[in-house]
Amino acid sequence: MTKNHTTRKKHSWLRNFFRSRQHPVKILTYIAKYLWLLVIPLAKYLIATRFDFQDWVKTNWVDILTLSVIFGYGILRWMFIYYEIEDDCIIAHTGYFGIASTRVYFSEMSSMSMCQGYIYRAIHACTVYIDTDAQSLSDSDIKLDISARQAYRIYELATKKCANKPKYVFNSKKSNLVIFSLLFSSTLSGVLLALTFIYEVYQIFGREFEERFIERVNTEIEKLTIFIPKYLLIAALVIAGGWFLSFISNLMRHWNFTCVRCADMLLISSGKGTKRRHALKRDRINYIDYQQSMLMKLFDICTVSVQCTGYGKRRMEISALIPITTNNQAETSIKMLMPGVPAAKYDVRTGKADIGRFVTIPAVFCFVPTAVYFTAGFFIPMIPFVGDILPDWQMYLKNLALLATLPLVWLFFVKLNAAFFTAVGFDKDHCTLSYCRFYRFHRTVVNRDRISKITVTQNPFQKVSRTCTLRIYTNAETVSRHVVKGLNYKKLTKLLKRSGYPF
Amino acid sequence: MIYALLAAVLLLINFALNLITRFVPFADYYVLLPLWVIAALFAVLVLPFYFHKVKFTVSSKEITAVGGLFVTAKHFMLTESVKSVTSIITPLSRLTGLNFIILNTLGAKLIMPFLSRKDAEEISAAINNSIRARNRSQF
Repeated sequence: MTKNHTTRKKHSWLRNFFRSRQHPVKILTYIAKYLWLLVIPLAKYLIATRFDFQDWVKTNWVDILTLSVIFGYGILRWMFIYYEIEDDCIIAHTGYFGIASTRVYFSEMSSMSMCQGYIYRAIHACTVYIDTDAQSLSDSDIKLDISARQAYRIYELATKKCANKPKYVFNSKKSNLVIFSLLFSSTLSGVLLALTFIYEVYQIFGREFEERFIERVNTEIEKLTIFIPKYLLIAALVIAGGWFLSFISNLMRHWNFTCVRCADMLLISSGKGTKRRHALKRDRINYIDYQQSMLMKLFDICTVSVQCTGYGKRRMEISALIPITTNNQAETSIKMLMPGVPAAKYDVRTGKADIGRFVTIPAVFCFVPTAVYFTAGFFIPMIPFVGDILPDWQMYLKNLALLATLPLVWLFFVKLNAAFFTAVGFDKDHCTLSYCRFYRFHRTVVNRDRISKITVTQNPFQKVSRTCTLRIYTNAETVSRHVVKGLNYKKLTKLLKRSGYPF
Repeated sequence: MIYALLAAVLLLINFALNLITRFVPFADYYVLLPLWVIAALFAVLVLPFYFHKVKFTVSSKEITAVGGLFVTAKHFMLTESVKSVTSIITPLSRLTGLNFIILNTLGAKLIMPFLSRKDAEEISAAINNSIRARNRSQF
């Protein structure tokens, strides 16, 4: 064997070794949690000793040894976890020492997602998620952080059927995306985002930095409290800041949203900072859900989402198919993207006679804050220290009661509308459900093959009014049910019997 | 047997209260009496009505369950959508009737509680056979 041949063989082995491993950045994610705790003090000490390595090693040899062990552990994990790509499947060897091997055939795949953040884009890495309809409920069947080139190779193999096939493209307008982000932003998710960020900072830089940050925020707030009460200011800042964060994150996630139908797949791509690509098998979609809030209903606009194993299940993701558009356009786009999905046709529906049943409970709830206000107003003066701590407690209580009443009054009107909106219909292959859950109206089209359970319940009040509640459970990773309340019991059971369900 | 268990639990509570009554004299009047009343209602009304109303049907095509005391419920599930069966058979279950079958599907569960041991084993075997037959036909 010549020297050249041996060198070439070694290079090819090395190339194969790296090609079938995850991106080297994964080593850092395996050890990052523990690494920073040691690296920062060690670096500080090295700078303090003006790079006197001998002294540094002598003093910190235990820490350096621990750091080496942690780093070695990361490298070992990275080495043992590898994957193989074949024409029709991908095999991932995961777990400690790579003992667990998962083979997923592209034909069995329900969805594939590729996610590339700022940092990963800079180092040409990409996270790949592959999900099937198997019973891996919470996690993806396969999750790998690999080089972008290899990720695109997997994507191409998984979407091989789409090559040279006609493509139907749906693009979302930028202005529509801004409205979508406005509507789907919530203070809670923004606050959660901020808390996650603070926690990550705390993990890396420790308590000292966090304390300094909070101290600075407090000082800035103190400056403003001359004009506005401190508590009100903090509440306003948390609500507005949280909401704004959520809005920005939603907008960036859905920027440049494109959905393409080709062959039996839907190819979705979106994202400004973090770029995402999803490939969904159309026949694995469990249901399509047209969603509207009360305001959206007034302006005849809606968003359409799909439930497909793996799509939209990652943290802060929304499983959008059409982010936002007018009702008519949504219907046209769905006809193009999901041919075969029927237009809404209902067999049993509620109406004017059912208004009482829909609005009674929200109407009662509207008076709860007022009742709490008067009860608290009666008891609080008996507690001596409240007056000292909060001299304006009556004003705060009144404002709180008013703030709590507003959403309940809104709920009353939402439920009033729901009385005319609730319906159910079955055809040969699909089931269409129209219902209201809290403040949101849903029109769901479920493929009948994807129904896992149907339940009809009647409480004593419903027995008197001869109505019932229909619950339809669909295939999903977690319990997924659609609750349609206030339907006529006799008509519904007749419809179910006619559709082949023995009720 | 459930009645025997109920009586045993109440006797245990009675015994525990006897120990407490030394320190809290009114405990038996305010705690034990309501407990006995609840147990009596449970034994005389709830249990017989529950067992009278509950009904399960299992066939190779579909599974139905009807039950509920105040809120009546009718459940329907296709046998082919069942992915796995969990059987919970407790010790002395032949006497106590504490046998449960949980049918797991993607996105839903159906619980069949308080079955006789024979019924539980029969239902579990029937559905497992149906799953096995389905898997065989796929290969």
